[in-house]
Amino acid sequence: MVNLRLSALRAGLFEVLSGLRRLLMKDPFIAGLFLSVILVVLFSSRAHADILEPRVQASLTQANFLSPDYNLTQKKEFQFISVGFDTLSKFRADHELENGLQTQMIGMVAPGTAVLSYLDVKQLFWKQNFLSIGRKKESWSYIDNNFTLGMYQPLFQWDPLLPQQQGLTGVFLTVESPDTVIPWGFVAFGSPLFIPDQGAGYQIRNGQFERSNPYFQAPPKFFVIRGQTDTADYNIQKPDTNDVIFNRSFAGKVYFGKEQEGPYFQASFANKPVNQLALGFQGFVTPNNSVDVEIQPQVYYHSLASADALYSFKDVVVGLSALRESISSPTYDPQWTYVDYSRSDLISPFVKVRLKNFNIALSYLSVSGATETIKGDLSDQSSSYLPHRYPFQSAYQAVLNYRFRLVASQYLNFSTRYLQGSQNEFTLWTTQASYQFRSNWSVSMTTQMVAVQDSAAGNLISYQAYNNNDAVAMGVNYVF
Amino acid sequence: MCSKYMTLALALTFGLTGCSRFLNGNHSAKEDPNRSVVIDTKEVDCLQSMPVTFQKFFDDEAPTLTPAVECLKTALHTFERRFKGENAKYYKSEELQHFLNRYLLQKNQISDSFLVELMKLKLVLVGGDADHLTRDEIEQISQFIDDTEPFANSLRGQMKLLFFRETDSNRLNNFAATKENLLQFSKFILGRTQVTQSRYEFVDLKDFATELDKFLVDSTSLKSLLRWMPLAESIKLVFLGDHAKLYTKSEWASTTQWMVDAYIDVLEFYYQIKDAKLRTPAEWNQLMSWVDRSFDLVEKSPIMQERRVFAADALDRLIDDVWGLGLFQTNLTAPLIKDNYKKALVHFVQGLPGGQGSALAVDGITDEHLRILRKEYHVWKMTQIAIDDLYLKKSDWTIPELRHEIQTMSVTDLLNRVGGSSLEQEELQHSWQDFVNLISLKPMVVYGTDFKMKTMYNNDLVRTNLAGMNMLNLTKSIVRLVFRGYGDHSSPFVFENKMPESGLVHFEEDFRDFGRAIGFLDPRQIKPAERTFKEGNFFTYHGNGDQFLTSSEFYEHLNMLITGGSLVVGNIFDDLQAQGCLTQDKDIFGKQIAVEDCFVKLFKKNIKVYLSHIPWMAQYLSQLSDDQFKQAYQLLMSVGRLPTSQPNRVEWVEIRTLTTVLQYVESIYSVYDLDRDQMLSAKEVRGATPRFATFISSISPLKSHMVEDIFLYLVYEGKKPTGLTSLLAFKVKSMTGLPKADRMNLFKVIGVLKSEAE
Repeated sequence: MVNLRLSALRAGLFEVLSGLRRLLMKDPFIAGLFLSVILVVLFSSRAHADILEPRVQASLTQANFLSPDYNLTQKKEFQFISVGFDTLSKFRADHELENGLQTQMIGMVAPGTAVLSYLDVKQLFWKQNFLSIGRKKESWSYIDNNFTLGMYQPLFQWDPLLPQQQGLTGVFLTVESPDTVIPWGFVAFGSPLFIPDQGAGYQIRNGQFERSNPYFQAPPKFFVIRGQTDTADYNIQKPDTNDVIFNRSFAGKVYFGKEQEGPYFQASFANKPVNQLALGFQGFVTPNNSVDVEIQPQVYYHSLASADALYSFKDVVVGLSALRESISSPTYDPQWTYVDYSRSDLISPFVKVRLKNFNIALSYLSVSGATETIKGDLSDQSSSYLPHRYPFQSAYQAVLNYRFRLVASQYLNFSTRYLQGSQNEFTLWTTQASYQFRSNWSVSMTTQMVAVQDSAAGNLISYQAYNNNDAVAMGVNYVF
Repeated sequence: MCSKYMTLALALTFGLTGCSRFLNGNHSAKEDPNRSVVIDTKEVDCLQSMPVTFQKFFDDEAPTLTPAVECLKTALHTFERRFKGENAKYYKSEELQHFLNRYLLQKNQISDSFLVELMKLKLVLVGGDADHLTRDEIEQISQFIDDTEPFANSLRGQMKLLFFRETDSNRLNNFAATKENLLQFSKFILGRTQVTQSRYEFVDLKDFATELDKFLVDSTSLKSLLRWMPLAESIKLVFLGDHAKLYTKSEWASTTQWMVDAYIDVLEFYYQIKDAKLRTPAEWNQLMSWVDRSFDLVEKSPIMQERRVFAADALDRLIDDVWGLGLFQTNLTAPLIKDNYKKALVHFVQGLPGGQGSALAVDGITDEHLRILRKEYHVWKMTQIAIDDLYLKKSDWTIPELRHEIQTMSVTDLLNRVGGSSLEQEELQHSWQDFVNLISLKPMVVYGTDFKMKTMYNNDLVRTNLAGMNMLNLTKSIVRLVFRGYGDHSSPFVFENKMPESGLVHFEEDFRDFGRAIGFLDPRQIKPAERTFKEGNFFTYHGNGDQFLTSSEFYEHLNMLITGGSLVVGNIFDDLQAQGCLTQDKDIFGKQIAVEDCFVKLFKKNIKVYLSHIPWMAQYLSQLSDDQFKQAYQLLMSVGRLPTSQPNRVEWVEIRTLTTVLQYVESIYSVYDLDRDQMLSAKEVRGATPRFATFISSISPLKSHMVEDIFLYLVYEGKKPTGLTSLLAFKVKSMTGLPKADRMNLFKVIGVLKSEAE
């Protein structure tokens, strides 16, 4: 059995490489671009000493889905070309940032699969001393950071198995006093604007969601009503952009101590729209033997309060993080079906071991509350289709980061995250590795493995929809 | 360096290979690209049991309609929120059809024609467009159903009663409550629906029921309801007309009130009147109350208020439908009824003499007809009230007691209780006096407690009961009706009129087919009217043999025919059946023909039973020797024997004639056997002569000469004189004295009279 899967993985890798080859042969533009990159690589006069401080990076990536049961899209291999611009890849405290424009963004094009293309602006702000304006990430809560829940800050969920935080958008006032006896600081945030999670792209053709994006879980294609099977005809009632964008947010954080040394405490509060838009829907049977499904996203609010306490020893950090979410109800008319969540409390102890090139973090998350009450006409039929507030209720997580210098300009970066449900109902294992073989060249590989039980407990896990999205992606990167 | 690569390899391997558990096939339903959402419609599953629920409600087995109402509302609500037409605001009718057929009904499909009927009903309920059903209208229908529930539930336990299926007598008493509930329900329907503005007609309701029947396929209850639809339509046609012109709410309200009253009236007839034994004064009072209400209803019916006539066409159709349903087990055909009710209107009601007027000219039953019919009913009712009063006091009376009570009754009180109009008062007073006169006659017609008209020397000894007196009242009313048309119209008061022979002939001609159909007239009989006329003149208590039948003669004769010609022969036939004396052969009336020997034996054996109403005749016949009895039988049968009679067979008509003749003879005896010695002396025979004088004069070559001698000759010689010589010889002989004649002599006379009359 193991041999069989190893062969599957090998076959996947082969497919990645052959896919890249096919991509180059198929598309003259891509081939030209690739050739240009090669030429730049070979004759570039500039070389970066450190792959972790890129300014502009271009990548060619091939992703393959490995599971024989994968069926979210008809094709199982995808190619991507991406260009990133990053001034913030290395973590620095706010006072360490230079005044001026800071950004962390990446754009990606998926030739032949336009729906997979994206522009991910994680951060883009202008800093002027203690004031920042724009989209900026902050460490509001360890729970939110460690488990990428998207509570305070919206998520880039192009790949729901590999979510990434994006910054809140607004005005940030950051006051820090790092050099006092007890270092302290606070961050105040306010904004009339709201940018929700950035999810996977989708296409609707003739009322049906296209099976084009492996990271988009299309809703059911058919409805069975009293024994009659009808085709679903979806229509998303896109809310007015202004109604989404112009929603006020405010948040604040105060902290004491240094994160890297001794005791540290921070407390945050926010009142803002929920980053994940509410989804309400209503379905009508039509005379054409189809079911018109109207989907209406809606902004709704929640309040967050969190506290994190940790203590950093020389190589070990232990901490406890807690978060409470009080969430309001969406305001749908009675004919709409939607889910209403109750207040939830999250608590997470964690420990982190830091060595020279290596660190590992172990954490546990428990969510209580967040009871889902489905309201509306189709509440009885909707429990499997409406989103859960959290991807899971309780889980253990291990994160390992490893950076290793092989020779003068050759580095190996390795990061893996292993997330397992406390009832063993799911496992999500994602790994990212890169090998910098020249000062501005590297190859990278990303794998994601997911397994969710087909059980009552498994049905509550958001990853279940991607149970066969086991994939490997390989790419070549160039840093300008 | 090597270790570094080893580390890299380990890391890659660790990162890439993963755990075998990830790659194995684990296909969750959420990943199925063809997965489907099963829309649970449990809330409308109750629709499947809805017919049963309604059936139970209609069978009075369901305590409430609330679950069904809730189910309907839920189904409507489900429909509204789950189904959407091309236009979000309304459903086209064909969209409705599609949705209902495909998703909710499946087994029973709504046809195009049923859809049309449903939309018509929708128009009645909530108005709007005939091709559309808006969401708002669905809400209105739902609200209507909700509001209907208490009214519908108020009728729970009364559905069998309302649909003529109640068999529990304990539930048949509270018509008032049912009526009130039905009325409130109707008012609610009127108030809450658009029926007053709609053009919904009975034909639409009929079409709806027809289509609903097709839709339900095997609904026995609806099929039974549909069976009555043509009749209901005909009744509607009679009382409401073809197109009821109801424009205002008040017109609708009054018509609805009338319909509810009429429906309850029919229910009361069905449950309380139809099978009533009418053995007690209370039952008769109940009947009269019902008839009073029915007359009021008929007079106040919308069509009578508007057009003053129930159209003949509509009445004819009603009769056709009643007959088509086979509601009456009778030999009477619908065409016969249609023809004869019109003749009855012309002669009995309008009073046109025989030979005048035509049934073809009758447009229908007019308000004038109704007034006359009601007046005649009041005549009957006035007497009936008196009779009921008497028999509320005790169950049987002697004749002298009755006479005294009736003669001393307060006419004013009776008139007040009858409730007739002021125009009827004089006629009612006269008619009451007619009854008093009939009661005062000696001998008077009187029924014994065995419900047979008694003929004895002294009828005053008879004790009579309610049934007997009712029969007298009934026959008196029949006489009035016949005399209205066929009397000589010499007096404004019907009972004072006389009927010439031609009147009776006309009567017979007009109603010949009817008489034959009910078995009263034998088509083989020649000139039955003339014969009846003579019998009425000769053999009734107060017959005088003149050229007319008086009302009292007709009254007495009618009662004789009822007893001798119907009741007694009926008893005999029952026994013939029980004794196996009937053959499989049938006469022209469909009655089985009896074996004569068997009949004679049975008749003789039970003669005192059969002839209990003429006890002295029974006594006489029972004392006869076999030869004498045989002779008497042959004499009597010579009167009734049919030309087509077969050997050793006797038909029902022949037996009827036999028993009737016996009653005739006894009638003569009771009047003229003054010394009551069971024999007629010559003097007593002479006393009877005037009664036959006219007849004898009409057939005698001597005309009015020697009429008495001829009659004596007939009685004593049993034949008519062969000539003047034989008559003179008999006269000489009679001077020396004549013996007494017994009943056998009269049997002979009747035989002679019969042959001479023919």
